[in-house]
Amino acid sequence: MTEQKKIRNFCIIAHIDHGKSTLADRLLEVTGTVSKRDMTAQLLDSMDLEREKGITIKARAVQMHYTAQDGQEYELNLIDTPGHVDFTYEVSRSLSACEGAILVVDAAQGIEAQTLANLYLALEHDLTIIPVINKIDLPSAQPELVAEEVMKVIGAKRDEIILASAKMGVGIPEILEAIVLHIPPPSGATDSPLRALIFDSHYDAYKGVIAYVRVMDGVIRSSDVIKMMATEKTADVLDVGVFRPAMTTQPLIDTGEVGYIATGLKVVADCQVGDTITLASQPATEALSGYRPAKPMVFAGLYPINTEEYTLLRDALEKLKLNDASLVYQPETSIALGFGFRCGFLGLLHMEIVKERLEREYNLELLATAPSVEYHVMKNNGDIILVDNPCDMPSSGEFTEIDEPWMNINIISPSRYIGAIMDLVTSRRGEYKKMDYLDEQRVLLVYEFPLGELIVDFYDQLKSRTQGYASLDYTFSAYKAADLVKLDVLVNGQAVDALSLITHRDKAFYLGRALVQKLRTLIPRQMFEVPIQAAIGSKVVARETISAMRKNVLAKCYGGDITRKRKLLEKQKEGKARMKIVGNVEIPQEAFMAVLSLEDERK
Amino acid sequence: MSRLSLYLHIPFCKTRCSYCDFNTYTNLDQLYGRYTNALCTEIERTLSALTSENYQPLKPLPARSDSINPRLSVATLFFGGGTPSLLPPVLLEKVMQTIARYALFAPKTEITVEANPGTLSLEKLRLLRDMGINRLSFGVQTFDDDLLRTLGRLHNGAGAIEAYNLARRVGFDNLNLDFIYGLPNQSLAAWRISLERAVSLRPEHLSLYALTVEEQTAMGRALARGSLPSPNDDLMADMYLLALELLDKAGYVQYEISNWALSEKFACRHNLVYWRNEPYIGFGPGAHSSFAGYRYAVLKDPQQYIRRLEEGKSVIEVEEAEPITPELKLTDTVILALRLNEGLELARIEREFGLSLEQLFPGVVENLVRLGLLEEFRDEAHESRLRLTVRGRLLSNEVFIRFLP
Repeated sequence: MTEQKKIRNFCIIAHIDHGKSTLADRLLEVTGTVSKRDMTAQLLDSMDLEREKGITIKARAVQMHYTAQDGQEYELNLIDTPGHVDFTYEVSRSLSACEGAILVVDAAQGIEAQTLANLYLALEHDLTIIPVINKIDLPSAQPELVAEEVMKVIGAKRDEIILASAKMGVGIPEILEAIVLHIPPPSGATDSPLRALIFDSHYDAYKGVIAYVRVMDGVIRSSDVIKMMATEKTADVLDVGVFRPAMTTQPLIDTGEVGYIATGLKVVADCQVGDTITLASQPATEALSGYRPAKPMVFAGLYPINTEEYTLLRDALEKLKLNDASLVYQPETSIALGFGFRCGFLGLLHMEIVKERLEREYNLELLATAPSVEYHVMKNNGDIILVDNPCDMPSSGEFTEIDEPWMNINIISPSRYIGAIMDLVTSRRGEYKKMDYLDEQRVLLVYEFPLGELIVDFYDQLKSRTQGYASLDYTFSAYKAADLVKLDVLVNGQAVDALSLITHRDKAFYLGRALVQKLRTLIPRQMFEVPIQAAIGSKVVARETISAMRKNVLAKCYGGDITRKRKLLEKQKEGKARMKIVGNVEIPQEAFMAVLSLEDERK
Repeated sequence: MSRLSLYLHIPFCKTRCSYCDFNTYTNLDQLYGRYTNALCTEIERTLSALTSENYQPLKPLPARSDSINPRLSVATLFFGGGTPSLLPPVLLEKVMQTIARYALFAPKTEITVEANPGTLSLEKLRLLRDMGINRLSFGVQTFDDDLLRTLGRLHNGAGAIEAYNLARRVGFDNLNLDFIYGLPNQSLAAWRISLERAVSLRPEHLSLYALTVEEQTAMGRALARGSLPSPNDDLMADMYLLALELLDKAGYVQYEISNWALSEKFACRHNLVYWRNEPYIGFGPGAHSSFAGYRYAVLKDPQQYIRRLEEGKSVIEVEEAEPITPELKLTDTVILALRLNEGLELARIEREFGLSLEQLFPGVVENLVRLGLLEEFRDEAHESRLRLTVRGRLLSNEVFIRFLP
């Protein structure tokens, strides 16, 4: 058992690709936690998807033992944090479990919006920051320039900044020493009732939900009965231990330590991130602050391409939910798409991850509708209804007000792109708040921005207008009233519910026109002429016509061709089977996401 | 007596045309002799198996249909390619003599050779005629010299007419001309000129093909790069309708989606075998057969083909042989018959498959009739038949996919 004063709990804050995982690997290696031989590249990101996308989705924790230059052995707990804006809440919980943070900045790229956002979050939690400039081995590295930026942003002194190359192993001993010297030990009271902060969890088929915890006060033992203070669930502890990095059983987890509790619970929703675990027999009087139930921000319909896979999709969502408390879903029916589920996600990345996991791990083929946000609609009778599917929006005249969610967004970019960013943001109803120069060339722009506009291709547009240089971060601000209308799309005279969307009245005309034009290119010619219309209520605002298909023929078919020609026909047939049929018109899947790929920027 | 339809593949060309993805090769002139020997070996091997007691033409696969009468006759013979007219006539004759050792040639056996107008001389035509070839098929493609250059053809428009006239002079009385429409930069007016000139020559047979762009060809790559304009489906539909009208006026009878003849007796009997889903045997690299209950092919590479035959080994891609299951046979029967203007005899389906087309594909015909793609009619024998409408001929894939297994 390590004395409390020899424990150091810390995390790493970094932008995607700035070298967080490589640094973590080096720390594990140098402290002998993992032998070089066992090192699979980037050990902390264990989900395939994470490795592919280069981001950390689930936080992980690992315990290291390090003998410092003072000759003493220290227990270092590294808590990995999700690196994406969709998971800000999870990040804040991970930070709450630490006393310090290593700030990793790429020596060639400087600070990015994501880093800054998490850094501010860390400062809010009073964490001790150890600034590290990584990748100094790169030919394009400008460590001194980046050092100045870091000094300006966190008010660090130059000699506190460590220059490193995790890849080459440069600076690693300095970082380990700085952790021991500068990050304070945890301060909890061993004799107080147990309070353990849940910063992550996963579901294990044998041990139920495994809660990843930082014990703030008291001690937890494998014989205890615990209680989750927010959900009020109780559970018999099956096992406690630490991550080295594999789960290793221990008799107890002491005050200040990081470890896991196997709870035997069946769903992670019973054991939510941010909740406080205490003892059922001797509960703490007050929970740790900061808990908030998972709240989805982005909604979309998920439908099986093959309608017979509906029950498989339902089962898959159920299983995924075991491991992902922030995923919400409920059955929905679409005239165009059949039976599916309305799903709520933390953000676009979360949505993409869930869809990919369903497809990959459960072997489903899914169609996702264009994402929507949740609107608060005040009806004439004073009732407020929540609408997360444009189809459910009441007609004009049936409500007095619609409120939509707004975000605070931070954009960091080279200053030469300010004009382009301003244009983009204002074209999407964003409101300018302030601008700060981080150094002579880099600027931080702060806006308020409707989430509904953010989820429609905003990030890609931002990237393309700044040649990939801008980075973006956002957090929820408030609900605000807006003059919004529902835009319907009619194909061959029939409204296609899955194509309806909600937009600002000023943009409805333009958007309707752009959308029908796009649909005209996406929907293949049919056996008859097909009009495509965009309408607000009963008023048609745009119309395009797909002329009837006139030729689909294999001109040559002789002895040598028959098998091959039959295969070509089979391919055509498969292509058709993947389309959705609405009013006799075959609509390809891409059409349901058309709104995300309108070429012209919406004015 | 069992009547055979044989296809013989000659996989050589002087140059490769820009649109062509057939199994053909240039610069293999030195192989012509060895190739002909190999082809004869393959023919001997198969035909002797057909006449033997141990009838198993697809060894080691067992035959899936009854053995055939060992007395063979040749119903149709088709030298295709590639460019069969590139081969010295004496080699073609050798192949025919090989066949003749096993099967009878009747006076009315249809024997076709595909010919490139740029490879023919009066002397060669005379030799072909004398050895018993009675039908020539010329790849004219278009009379427009600019377009012919784009296609990478050997001849020009005048050369095609000259070859045609030479063939007439030596006595060929059954000639086909092949044309392609929908070529990049081909206008409707240019197509009309080619058609009118074609008709004025009065060939017994005309094949008009909508251009099909294959990715792996020079033309496919040029289109992908954008250095050639993409074919326009609407224009091609107009070109087809123009051809229907013009050829009808000129007295030609359409008998298949892409084929016309001056009278029914000039319809290509070899190709009718394919469309009526009757058996045929193909010899030579890449040639396909529908025989003994399988659809199967010969390996594609000519050098490997020669080597293996010289070493006494099999050249059939046995693993890829496709057993003709009842489902497959049904589909092929329907979609091939519907290519023909004579259409599908509905009683044939009941006869061969035990159920009516409506029972096998409920509601499909009705729907296609409603869409204006199919029509039912009665032939001279008052048999009920089904055929494509004019619109259906242009949209035939939409019809055919509904009859897949």
